[in-house]
Amino acid sequence: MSTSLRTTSVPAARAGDHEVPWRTPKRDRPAARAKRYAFSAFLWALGVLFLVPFAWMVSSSLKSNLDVFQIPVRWIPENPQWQNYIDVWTGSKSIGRYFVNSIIVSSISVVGDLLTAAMAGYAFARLHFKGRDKVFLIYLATTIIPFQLLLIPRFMLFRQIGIYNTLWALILPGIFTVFGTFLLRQFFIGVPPELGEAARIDGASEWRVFWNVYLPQAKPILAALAIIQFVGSWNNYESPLIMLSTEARYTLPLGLTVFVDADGGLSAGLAMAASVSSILPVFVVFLIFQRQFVESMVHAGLRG
Amino acid sequence: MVGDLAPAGAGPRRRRPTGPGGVSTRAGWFFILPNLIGYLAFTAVPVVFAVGIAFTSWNVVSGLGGIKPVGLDNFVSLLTNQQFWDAVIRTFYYGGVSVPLTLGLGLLLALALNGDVVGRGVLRLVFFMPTIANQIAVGFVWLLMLHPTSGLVNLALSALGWHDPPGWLTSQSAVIPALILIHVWGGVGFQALIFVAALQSVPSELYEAAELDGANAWQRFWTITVPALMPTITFLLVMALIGQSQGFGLIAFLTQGGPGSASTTLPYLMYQNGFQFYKFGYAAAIGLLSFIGVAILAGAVWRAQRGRGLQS
Amino acid sequence: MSDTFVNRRSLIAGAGAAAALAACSSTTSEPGQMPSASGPVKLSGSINVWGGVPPENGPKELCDAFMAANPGTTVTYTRFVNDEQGNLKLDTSLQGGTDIDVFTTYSMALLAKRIGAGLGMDLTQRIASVPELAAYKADANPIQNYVAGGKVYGVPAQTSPTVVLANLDMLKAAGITPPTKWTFDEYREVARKLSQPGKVSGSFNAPFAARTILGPDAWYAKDGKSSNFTDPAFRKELDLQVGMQGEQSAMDMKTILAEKLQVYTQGPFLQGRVGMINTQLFLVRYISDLKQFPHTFKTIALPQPGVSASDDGWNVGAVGDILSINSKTQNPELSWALIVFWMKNAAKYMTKGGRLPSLPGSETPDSLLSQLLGADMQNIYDVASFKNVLFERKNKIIVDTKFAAAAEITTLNTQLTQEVLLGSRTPDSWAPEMKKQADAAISKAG
Repeated sequence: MSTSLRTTSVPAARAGDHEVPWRTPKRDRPAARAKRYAFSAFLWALGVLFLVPFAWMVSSSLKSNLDVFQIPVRWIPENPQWQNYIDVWTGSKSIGRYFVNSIIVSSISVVGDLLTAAMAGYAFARLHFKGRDKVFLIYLATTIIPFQLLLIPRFMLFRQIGIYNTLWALILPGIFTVFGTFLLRQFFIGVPPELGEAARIDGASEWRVFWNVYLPQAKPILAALAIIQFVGSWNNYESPLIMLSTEARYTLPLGLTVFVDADGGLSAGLAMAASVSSILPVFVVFLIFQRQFVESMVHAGLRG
Repeated sequence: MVGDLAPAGAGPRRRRPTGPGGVSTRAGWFFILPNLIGYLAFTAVPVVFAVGIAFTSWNVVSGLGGIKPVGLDNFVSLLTNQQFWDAVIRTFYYGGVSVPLTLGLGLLLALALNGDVVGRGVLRLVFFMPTIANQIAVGFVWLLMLHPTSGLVNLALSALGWHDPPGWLTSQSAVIPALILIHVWGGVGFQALIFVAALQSVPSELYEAAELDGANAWQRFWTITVPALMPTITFLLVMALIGQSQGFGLIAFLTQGGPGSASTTLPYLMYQNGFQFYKFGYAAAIGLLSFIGVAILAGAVWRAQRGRGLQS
Repeated sequence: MSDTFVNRRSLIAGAGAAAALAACSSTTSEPGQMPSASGPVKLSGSINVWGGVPPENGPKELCDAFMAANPGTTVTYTRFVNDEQGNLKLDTSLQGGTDIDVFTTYSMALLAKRIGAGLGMDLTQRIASVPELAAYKADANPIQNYVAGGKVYGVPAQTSPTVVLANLDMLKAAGITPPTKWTFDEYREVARKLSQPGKVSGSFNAPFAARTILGPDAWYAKDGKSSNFTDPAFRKELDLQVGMQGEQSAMDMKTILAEKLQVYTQGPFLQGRVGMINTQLFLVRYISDLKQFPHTFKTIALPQPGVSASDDGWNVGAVGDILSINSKTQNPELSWALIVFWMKNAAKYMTKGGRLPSLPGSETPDSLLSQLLGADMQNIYDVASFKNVLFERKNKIIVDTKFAAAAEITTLNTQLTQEVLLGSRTPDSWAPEMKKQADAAISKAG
């Protein structure tokens, strides 16, 4: 692991990158290569363990409702119910429109959040103004109030301002989060203040300093934030539950409840098929933003 | 926009009155404003309301007119109630183990995933997957995996020689460890992701300089990596503390606070009182007490990390 | 005790349609009647109905029929999930002024709360003016409705008695003649005979002895100011539960918890892991679904075990799907018309969803049975037994009147009973502890 820390933990645009004299990269030497493969194998084994629950999900999505809870567990269903997927997408309870709603809510929230959080986080970290730290602490303190207590007051507030039962009731709170601000603030604290000085001396405005100098540094963190906020928004159940009453506007997690019948019984096979389907967009988002990490390392030029 | 008068390169221009650090105070507020206003509107106002309700008795159904102020009654009632203190202890147990465990494992995982590993990109996705799944699915899966006789976990433990493996969700003593297990599984990938992003922002020159100075990997870790990650560690720690004081969805689905009351943590107690018993004032009082507890802990974390960052 | 979970299920089961529908009879096309009007009034306008039953299980058809019988009216049915959060959503919507005209409540305790908060309109006069609803009047005997201050605020559209469903094949194999009447101990004896340790438990659960013996308001002392848990009836039920679990004639708590069987009750019976189950009728929906739950045995319905040879005791089922009108409604006439339509036509539309209607309307028991049990009923059920248990016996269904701290006492009951059945609490300590905590909860509820 000692080699890995050194050769790969470098982002791109750092002032003062210098060349390393050529020699066989440490990692290609035979002993190191063996170590590398062994370690990778270990991590992969761990990874597979992590995935076992998902294997069960997929397996259950292909079973009939009774079999889902059959004990002992059969991993490969003897009678794969591909029909479950068809039913879930095209049946009377199609999840298609829940998908669309979820995509709308999550995408807008995430884009909005990235912008406002980056601005605010930057300000809390790098700009100096009166009361800065005090305001931030109060900000932070309010997140400690358990969110479930906020559902009812929010409900009443949203009714007053007329966004109840609209997707905005979900989007707006998602755009203005403390989580994002906190994360970006912590990140920007770690960025040297000197970076901005050069640009300021050249006469750049504050906005330019932010947009052209500091923000690009934050790409990896922004990518991480995008993923996290997207997932959070995608899986949010309590908010849509309280804020939406028209079924056509439901987002996915709420939409899954149509598979719960009046008695609380669950059409488990169908619900699992819907759950598996609902994971796909998050996959895609992750893969897109995951590349940000890689790209920033390519720019570093020091690809171990 | 504030301060964007002269185009870049136009030469020195007059600066507005500034605070320390030479930056316009107005700029600071401008940057914050969008986030702040939105936050105040959609979160701060409800927070104030929720805090106020803690001093009342309210069953929600009776509308705003049914709010009855009761002063400190809810708090007195709580602090003298054995159930409350039992819940506090359980919450400390649950949080005290799962938060450091997830953080530590997350950091280790990040170090591994930041390093030289085959198929690193895909591996990162693999570990992050648990965070993506929705709660119902996760609940079901673990319900089956933790079945005392036919669940995978106990089958594996028996195969490894453990003859009477714990009853997990059916056992009053093993239910919290079960929840910890599920929590770590679900949270480690998330924390690792954030750590990876932070690790990549550590300037490589620092490592190179240290290596040239003769520092070994262990020393480099403690003198460079950890301090550089301090803001991130603080962030994750505080967020985890907050999350612990709020998370009840899994408990509501898997155990409903049981068996008996063995998994009734503070957040679940709050949910029970608010959403099941319709005692919203009482629930808000629990929330306020949670808030005080977490604020104290978070404050301690904040204080402890001051002066240990990289810049100092 | 254990009646809590099956009761809740049935309450949940009953939930769906209530909001949307009060059936108007479809044979006469009379629109809703105003209490003092001299003739029928033409209905118009649109209303919103909220219920917990998915629309395709009956409510949609019913609403469509209502709209067809009353052209120019619009009824919109919205389904809410009948769990804690779903009900909270309904409650906040009701008092937040969302347009809801008719809503459904699936638990008397919750109805008491809603009415106490003024969310429901007083329906006393209206109910009194419809002859078919006589059983639900404020002064009916026996009381079959929630009465507060001499007034009534809703009408129950579903009746849901508790029955014992048994695996007929198992009974035959053990040489047992299906009884037409039995006591708790006789039930236990049959369960023992059906059990095969390690494979089959004779019964899923022990009989709900306490409430069968005590009847309405079993939890409360006569004055309602404290609890009643020191009554020996509760100990009798606890002993039955502990005893049957111990001899493996009932399913053990560990397994129930491990598989969440208190919610997913249908599995063990349909998989042949238990021979009998004390349950309400919602289970029938799963039994009839041979595609999702294939099984070959026939199901027979047996009466609840009674107190003694001469005393059947109370039926621990429930009345459900209680329809009420939002006190803030803009169109009370149409809302009431819908409720009446629902009550009169639930038999026609809701029965096939697994809900036995309070009013048979124009349906005969045979026709109700065939809707309830499905087209394939001769293959799946011993139909005569269902006819006997549901229609020929006189079931005294419990209708409670006291609800102080009901939700807390339910939770308490579940917690303490689980502890006893898991072995971490002695049966002797159950009653004193229940009494202590229940009394505290009741006094705090004011």
